[in-house]
Formats: sequence, structure tokens, C-alpha cells
Amino acid sequence: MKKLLHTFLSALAAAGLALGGQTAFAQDKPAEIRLGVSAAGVGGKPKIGGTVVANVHLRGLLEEEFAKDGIKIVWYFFPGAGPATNEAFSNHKVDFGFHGDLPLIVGRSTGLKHKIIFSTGKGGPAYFVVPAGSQAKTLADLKGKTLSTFKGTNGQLFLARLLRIYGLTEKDFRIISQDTYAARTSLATSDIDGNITTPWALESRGVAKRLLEIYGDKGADGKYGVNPVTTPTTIWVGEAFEKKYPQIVQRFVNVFIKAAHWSSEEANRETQYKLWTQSGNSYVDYKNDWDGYDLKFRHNPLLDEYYVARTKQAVAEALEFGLIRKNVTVDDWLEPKYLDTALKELGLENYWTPLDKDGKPAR
Amino acid sequence: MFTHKTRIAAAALMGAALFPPAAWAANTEELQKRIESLQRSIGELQKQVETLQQESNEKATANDVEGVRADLENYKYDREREYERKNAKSTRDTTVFGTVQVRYSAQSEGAASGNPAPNGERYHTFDVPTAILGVRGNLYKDYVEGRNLEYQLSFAYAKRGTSAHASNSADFNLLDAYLRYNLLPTTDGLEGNRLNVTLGQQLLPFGVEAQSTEDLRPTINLATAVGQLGLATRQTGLVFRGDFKPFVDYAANYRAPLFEYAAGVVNGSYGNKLDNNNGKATIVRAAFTLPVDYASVFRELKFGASAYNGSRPISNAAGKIDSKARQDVYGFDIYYNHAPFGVTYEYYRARTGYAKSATGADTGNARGVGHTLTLFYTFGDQFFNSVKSAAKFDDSWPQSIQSYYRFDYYNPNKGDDLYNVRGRGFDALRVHTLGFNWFFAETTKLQFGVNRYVYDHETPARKDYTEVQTQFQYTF
Repeated sequence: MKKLLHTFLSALAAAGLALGGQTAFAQDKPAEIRLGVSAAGVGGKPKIGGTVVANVHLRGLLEEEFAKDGIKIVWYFFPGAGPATNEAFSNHKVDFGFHGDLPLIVGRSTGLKHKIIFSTGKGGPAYFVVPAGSQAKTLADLKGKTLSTFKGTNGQLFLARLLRIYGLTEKDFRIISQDTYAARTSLATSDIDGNITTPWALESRGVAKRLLEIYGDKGADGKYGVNPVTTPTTIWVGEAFEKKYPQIVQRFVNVFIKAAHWSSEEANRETQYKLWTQSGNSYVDYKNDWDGYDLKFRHNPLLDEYYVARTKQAVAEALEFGLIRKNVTVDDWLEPKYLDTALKELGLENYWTPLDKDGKPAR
Repeated sequence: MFTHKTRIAAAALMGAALFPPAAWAANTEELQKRIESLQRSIGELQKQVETLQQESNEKATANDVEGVRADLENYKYDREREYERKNAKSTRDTTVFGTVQVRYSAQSEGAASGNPAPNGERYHTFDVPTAILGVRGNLYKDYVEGRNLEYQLSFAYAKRGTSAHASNSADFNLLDAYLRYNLLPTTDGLEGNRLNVTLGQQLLPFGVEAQSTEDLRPTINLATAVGQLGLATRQTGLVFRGDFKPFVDYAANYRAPLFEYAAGVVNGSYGNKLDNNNGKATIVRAAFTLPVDYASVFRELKFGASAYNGSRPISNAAGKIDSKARQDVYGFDIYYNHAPFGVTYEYYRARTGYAKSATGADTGNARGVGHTLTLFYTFGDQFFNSVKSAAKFDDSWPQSIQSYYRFDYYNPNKGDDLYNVRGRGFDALRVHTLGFNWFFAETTKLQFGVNRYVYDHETPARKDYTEVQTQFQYTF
């Protein structure tokens, strides 16, 4: 019996090491870098669009940077969006994360230890979409009807902000939780009465229509600015990883900032749209959502006054709407040194325009 | 008439007279500028032509549209034909499911039971202990509130065992046969309370292991108390299950119902039978889960209590001596699942009526007591929803090894501590199990376990023994 027990334990330990070893760290560098992306493509495809994160992934830039060190890049695209990234980070399954504001804030409020290292851009337009046969002319016409949002994601705050603009609250409606693609299907079948989503592909199929369009105010260049409903997106790094591998974090940030520069160049606009269609979303979705914007504005990675103010506002909203139980402080959450170094090393200190707290150009 | 050469010479002389060398230089410079300007214009025009050509190439022509239309028609035809001829159909939404276990086991003491006579002793055997086939779906789908009417129907294979007429055939017995209606909405997100009612043959909401379906049980063998008291056997009746005051952590979409409850009434005569007396059995369960965030070390820590009160007829050689002898089981359980580790503990206390003698009318109650403690540690990502559901192209699945140790004790005669007394079951048994589940595909696992059985009262026919089991379990 003892011999059997010994054999069993030895086999188990060996198997455990084999499986656990996948995330084991070497002395000076990690065996792999794991990035949790709070989105996935159509039908759960492991590709996304509409962000510099997609450009880094689809162009294989991280793999190229770390190949010489033998460091494997592991991309997790989570159909479960921000909450899934938090769940993975809670269980030490990711080192970096790509998040919208609400899940980022909720995760922080429950004790997740990470540092915000750069933004992946400012928010784009928001559309409130209803089924094609809807008789509603205004949001108020939908009072008492069923709206859906992906609860726990930044979409929940988008909806709350939009309703507030029109003097309404979630209590005026029946709110259910659906992920992005389920909501689009429900719009097509009229099982819900409204949702904030990209309308173009639905409209071209004749199954849904826009009830409201929210863009930011236009600037002197005639391009749209910051949006009152949508917010910047974020890349963070786990504190433990950052402390252990600051050089790796710096190289990771450099790759993203270089890609943000490529993405911000007008010459690469069409190329990006086409790249992004690999996610399964249509070209027209991206073209219509991005054409009215300066790419340098949308891909702006700076942790500027606007980013800070908007994140603080989101914290206040999350508290007000009862989505977090503990307050979150923002200033001690940011770690801009990697971004600053990347901008300096790449000669991009003055490439992007920082925005003030109101979203106006600060210089 | 002037010759051609003469005309050229005259033109050259006139040119020389009209444009002196300095003027020639200025004129050449201007011409050069004009040429460059023209070249730029031509370049821009060429770009415009290229752009127009590119746009023209990107636009669909009538032929392109015809091609797409033909493809679409072919696709529609093919799909319809496949649907008509090769697809299984159902009047309502139906999912076919099943669970199969294929096992090899060896033990240190010989055994002969489980087969029709004659039998020699065996020390190891192959086996298919479980084969379940079922369907489930909805009979009414409420798109707005999710108050759906659902059904489940399943059958399980069973050996004919020692039956005198047994051949190589097996039975296919009804397992689940129920309707379930959601009384409260199910589409209101994580914060909503839940309540459903189930009518028909079903598992009882008792403890942790007894109400787990075959595919979700972590160990190869059931806990002894669950097996001996029939707690995992389907019963027929009406059971309400629900929860209220869920604690929701949106950081990870984690839902922890503060209180879960179940209450119901069943025949008490186990599955595939009418009631065997006029006394119905009642089942009640309540559980409390700690309201903490997903990131807390105390997530998924649940305390539960269950009570089953029923009655059964008992008989001896003289015939039926009591039609409503007690059959009560009380339980307390702790469930703590904080992947990668987890602990479950279940305590059972039973009161079972029995005939005190072979022919007399005296009856008594056997008092049983049991404990089952299971410790888990998992290597791998099987139990993380995020990683498990991450987008992927292929059939990849996070491989995991869930190792466990179980201590299982049950004494059906705690008061008398006797061995195999009529109607009181067998004597106390301790089972130590060390094993693992290797999840190597989405719905398939290799299970391995070493069981050590220790009896309080060893006899020549009933000795302590060690058993090694290996089985594949797959579900679909």
C-alpha cells in the first residue's frame, strides 16, 4: 500500500509540474506573457477589431519583439468580456489586461492589484439601436420596455450615462443582461426593445435602426472629440509581474506605443479597417464608426488629464449606481513611467495631443 | 523652291537673331519648369486613374452579383436538402445528452457478486458501470422574462445482475422524467432571485453529492451513506428550488445566493414505483453562502442543512409488519471551492425502521451516522470560467488534473454496533480514497482511484481490502 501510495504521489507531482509549469517563471524573464483581452470576435472568434490591441495582435508585434528571448505570448480573448479578465487575473492566469472602465474599476474595488500603464484610446461614437419595426421616436417612448446591456462591462455605464442625458434611469425600463452578439440577435428578432451597439451591419440587413446617435463635439479640425457616453480604454499590468519584470513591461509598452503610432497615421486607416474585419465584424461597421475621427485622437495612449478625470467620474458613477461597494482612488493607480519612457525612446513625446479634464486639447 | 535643308538653316538663323544666348537660358529654365509642372500633373492624373481603377475593381459588377446569387441559391438548396434528409428533428427544442463510464478495476480480495450464478472469484474486471442517454429542452420559451417551461427525460442502463433469467441482456431504466417551470424571471441578470418547481422523477435536493448528476461527481464511487441510504436515487414528486438575496460581484460576474432553499414532497419509494404506502416523504434544504467578492479567499464557501422524512413498509417472514416504518435522514454540509483547492464535508444522520426478528412483529429504528470529507487540489485551468470559455479556433481545452483525497465513514447501526443484523444494514465502514481526475478534453476525463475499505468487524467472508479503479467518463 505504501509503495502504491508513493508511486501515485510521484506520478501526480510529475503531472502537476508538467501542467503547472506552463506558467512557471524563469529567473530573469517569464516563460510567457499572458494578455487578457476583454472582448472576442463574432461567434467567439479569437480576433478583435477597432483598437490598437487588435493591430498588435493581428500584426504579430508582441511575438516579434519577444521571439528572440523565447518568451511565448499567450492571448486570451474573453467572450465574457471585462469580468472574465478579472476572473482570470484573480486566479493568476493573466499578466496584462485590456479593459473598459467599469470592469477595471469594479475589479480594483474588490482588491485586484494592478497598475494602469497606458490607454488604448479615447471612446468613439455610441448608438442606441432599436428593432426595425420599433415605433419609438425617443428614449422616453421606450419607458417600461426591455433594454439589454452586458452587465458588469463598460456598456452598463454607457447606458446609465445615456439615460441620464435624457433625464431617465435604469428604473424606467426593464434591464436584462446580454453579451454583445446575443443583444444583436435579440434586436433582429425584436426580443428586446433597445441596446447600445454598432448599428451598421444590422441596418444593412434591415433588422434594426438607430434611435439615437451620440458623437462628441467637433473640434476646429472638423473631427469629432470626446464623447459624453463612451470612455477611454486601458491596459494594465499585474503588480507582481511589474515588480518582477520591469524591463519586460517596458518592452511590452514600447511595442504598443509604436503600434499606436502606426495606427494613428492616416496612411494606415484603410489597412486597419481591413485588418479588423478578421474579427468577423463588417468593414462598414469600422468605416462608419471611425471615418469622422482623427486617428491620433482615437488611438491616443496618453494618461492625460482627461483620462484621469473620466476615470474618476466613472468611479463616482459606479458608486452612485451601486456597482461597487468600496471607493477606488485613481491617482495612486496609474504608473505612467513606462509610457513616458516609451514616448521618449520612440521620439513621440509631442506626437499625440494631451487633453485637459474637459477633453479639450491642452496645448 | 527651297530645299528642306535650306528651310532648317533659315529657321536657325532667324532663331539666333531673335533669341540671343542669354534669352535662350531663361527660356530653357521656364520650359524646364513647365515640363516639371506637366510631369506633376501627369503624376497626379495617373494616381487619380489608379484610384478610379481600384475603386472600379472593388465595386461589384452585375456578373459578380449573379455569381453571389447563384452561390446563395446553391447553399439554400443544399441546406434544405441536408435538413430534409439528414437532420434529426423534434417538435420542440431538444438537446440530446449522455454520460458513459468505461472502467477497469482490481481488488485485493476476490469477489463473485454482481453476476448470475455460477461464478468463480474474480480479482479484476472490466465494466461499464454507467450509460445514460437523455434529452432535455424547453416546452415553452418566455423570451421576455425567461419563465420557461423545461423538460428532461433520460434513461440509464442497468445490469440484470443475479436475476435467475439474466442472460447477456441489460435493462434501460427510466432515470429523469420531469417538467420544470421557472416561477421567477431568469433574464433579469445576476441580481434576480430564482424559483422553480419540478414535477416528476428527479434527483433530491439533499446535501452536495446526492444532488450532483452522474457526470459531475468528482469521485468514482459514491459516498457510502449516499449509496446505502438511497439519497442519490431518483424519486417521484414535486419539488420547489430557489434562492434569494444573491450577492453579486460584477468584477467577475460572480453570483453567490445568500440563501438557497428547496422544499418538496415525493413518494418515498424511490424511482420507477408508485407510492408504497400512504405516507409521502418530505425533503427540505437550506444553504447559506458567504456574501464575499470573487477575489476573497472565502468565495464559494457554503453551509447547508438537509432533512428527508419518509416512511416505508417493512416485512419479515411473517409478512408485512409495519407499513409506515421511519426512514429519515438529516444532513449538514460544508462546501468550499476556491480553485485550485476545495473542501467538502458532509455529515449524515439516519433513522431507519427494521424488523427486530425474523417472524415477530417488533420493530425498531437503526440509527446511522456518516461523515464524508473530500479535499481537492487542481493543477490546470479546468475550473476557471474565463480560461475555459476563452475564444479559440480549434478544439483546445485547458487540461487539468484534479487530485483528491476522501475519507468516507458510515455506520448504519451506531446504537448497536452490530454486523449485518437483519434490516439494519451492514456494519461500520471506513473508506480512504486517493485519486485524480484528468480532464483532457472538454467533456472527457480519465479517473483513477485507490480505495482502501476497512470494516469495523472483519469476517472470513468480509475482509478489509484495497481496490484500484481506472475509468474513462465521457459526456456529450
